Amino acid sequence: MRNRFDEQLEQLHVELIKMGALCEEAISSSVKALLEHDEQLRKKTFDIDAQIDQKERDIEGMCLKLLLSQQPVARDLRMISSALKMISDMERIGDQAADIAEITGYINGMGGQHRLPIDEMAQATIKMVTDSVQSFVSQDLELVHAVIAYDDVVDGLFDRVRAQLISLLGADSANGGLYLDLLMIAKYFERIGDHATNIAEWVEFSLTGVHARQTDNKEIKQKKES
Amino acid sequence: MSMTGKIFKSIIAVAAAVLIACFAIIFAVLYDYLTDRLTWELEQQTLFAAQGIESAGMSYFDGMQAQNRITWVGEDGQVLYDSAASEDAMENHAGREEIRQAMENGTGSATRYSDTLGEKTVYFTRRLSDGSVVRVSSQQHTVTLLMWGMLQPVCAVFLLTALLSAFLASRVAKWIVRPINEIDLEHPDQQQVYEELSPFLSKIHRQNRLIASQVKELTRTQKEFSAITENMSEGLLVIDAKTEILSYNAGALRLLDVKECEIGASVLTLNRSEPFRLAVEKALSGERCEQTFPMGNRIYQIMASPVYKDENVAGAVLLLLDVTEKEERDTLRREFTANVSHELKTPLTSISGIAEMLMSGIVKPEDVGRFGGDIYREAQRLIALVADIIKLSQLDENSLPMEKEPVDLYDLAQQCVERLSNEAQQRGVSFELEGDHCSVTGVRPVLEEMIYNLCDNAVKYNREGGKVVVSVMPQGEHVSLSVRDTGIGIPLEHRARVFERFYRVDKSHSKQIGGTGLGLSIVKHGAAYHNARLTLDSQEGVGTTVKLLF
Repeated sequence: MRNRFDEQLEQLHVELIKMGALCEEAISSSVKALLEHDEQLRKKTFDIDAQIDQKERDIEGMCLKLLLSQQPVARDLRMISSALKMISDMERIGDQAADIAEITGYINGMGGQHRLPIDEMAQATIKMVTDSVQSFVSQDLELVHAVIAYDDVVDGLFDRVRAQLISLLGADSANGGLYLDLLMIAKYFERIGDHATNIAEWVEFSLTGVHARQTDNKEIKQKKES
Repeated sequence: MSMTGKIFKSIIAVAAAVLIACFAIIFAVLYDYLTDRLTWELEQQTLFAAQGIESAGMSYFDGMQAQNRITWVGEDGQVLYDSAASEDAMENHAGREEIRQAMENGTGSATRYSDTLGEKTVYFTRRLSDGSVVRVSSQQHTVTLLMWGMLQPVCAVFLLTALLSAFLASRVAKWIVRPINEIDLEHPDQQQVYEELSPFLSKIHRQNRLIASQVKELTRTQKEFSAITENMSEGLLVIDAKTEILSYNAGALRLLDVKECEIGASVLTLNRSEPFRLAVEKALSGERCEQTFPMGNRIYQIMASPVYKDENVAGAVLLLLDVTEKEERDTLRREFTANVSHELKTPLTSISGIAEMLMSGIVKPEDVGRFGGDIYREAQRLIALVADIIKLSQLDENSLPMEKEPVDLYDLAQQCVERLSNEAQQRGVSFELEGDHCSVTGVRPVLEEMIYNLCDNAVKYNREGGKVVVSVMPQGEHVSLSVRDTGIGIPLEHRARVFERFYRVDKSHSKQIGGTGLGLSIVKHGAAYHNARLTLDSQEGVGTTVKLLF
């Protein structure tokens, strides 16, 4: 009975790795479609997004079945509950990669705006997603913290892109639509970074039982009390 | 079943058997004895009573203290006296067996069992002189009743025996087993325990030796296997149907760039890229699969084959190869083929165009000569190109038809300089040859071609009024040949690639300058053929120096 449970947990782990890998593929192919204007990759992103959605449903079913039939406790329970949370973040990453691919279709790649640091932002976001998935795969707390810290880099890049777009918009309002689309893309990257952070936080929770947001809340409470 | 239990059972069975036998024997002997005694006592008493009655009559009974019942029966069977019951109430006893016997024989005896009490009554009779009969009777417990009475003590004894047996059994079991437990099973042949165990011990000894030899054999094959897998540069992974790693080698970890790997973890923790996943999935669905995937700046090939057990896929073997070089070579070959076709097509297009014009007669007769010259030049270019390709492929395949011989590089350089002097003059470039006569072993036409190509480039890519210095001089055990020009130089980013086939720094002017684009490539392959070191030193706008060290 117990062995079967362990086997199912292992299978859940593998499925999560597969879903994480799909997320990595989704974002890297949407980025390639954006930067290199590759129509085939753009279409592939939608395909991967559909696969991610299917995986989310599968994993959700697995988790609920495990919770109901095995009634896990402690570490196992944390693993399953954080898996449930993680897949919704992964699913959002897939959706946003698909959104980027969709906008890419309207603006023909970067629309000639290759001087914006969107390229850099994309690479930073890919790194965050890859590292957050890797932190789950190798159960690496250090990498978790690195991912959470790296979110600031992506946020900083977003601010830079935004500032540059504002000045571009001021100088050349005829292309306003393009700039707004690029801002949306940058925002999606920023959101993906946030989801990667969330994934990393859930990995931390499943490993240590402490979630970053819980400690934040406690600190706020303590501050209020004092 | 425990040994203690077994011993307990046998002890208690023996004890119970002995106990029962003892009781049976004692009972039989004792009962007989008691009966005999009773009979004798009754006989005596009857005798006494008879004598007493003979002498004293009825008065004998007065004040008589008798343990047993005494009855006096008259000649007619009428009871005259009874010590236990009233005489009047008693029936006529003439029919009783013992009375009849006494009347006939003088004495009689009978035993009657009472229905209810489990007792029997023994009667003894004696005829008196007057014909009356005296009877003494005594009741005796039957065997069953006696046995019933003795049941309790017997049970107590049996219980005691059981307790004692249990205690003894556990002690005996321990006592028997202790030496067996103390046997050193590693060396059963040197043990001194029960004789009965020696076949058992020798069998263990034999099996020990068998196991040891098998373990040794296993370790050896295991070592052999790991020596093979650890030393191969390819990565090897064996996984089960649930993608869990069963075995891996150092090559796999190195190629996949992971520091450690846990047996039993999923193989997807090592790599989760799409081609890798696809290969694993396909192999586990029973299909052989080959995929290439990039990792970092290398390209790997994964070959996944399913492993069958009873017609089901039990797992897969993954083999990882570094195919970066092969892929690069393939790319080069593809590029070369594309370049060759292009280079061959360009002159052919011109020839075909001119020929078409000549054919349709739109060329004025006075221009025919000029067009003929064009065809001739293009054809010459084609011939030169094909010749160069042949030379290159010969160098590539190491299939030069010529023998190696001692060649004087200085003389060779001089010939080249002379051959090129005309062209150099046209371009306003001056030649200088310095150094000594130095001899190397090599293939003369190839060496000549190499020096010619270098000098030709030095002239072609020179500026007006520039200079080309060719120097041949010994350098230690080696001979160095360098061609220095004062030309345009090669930009840094192109330097690594100028020796590639058909590579041109300035693609737009290649036609003006001419040449096949294979010159430096031939130099490079020629140098490799002669084991010479080729170095390129260039400064943009100042000049280029190519040095060959034989």
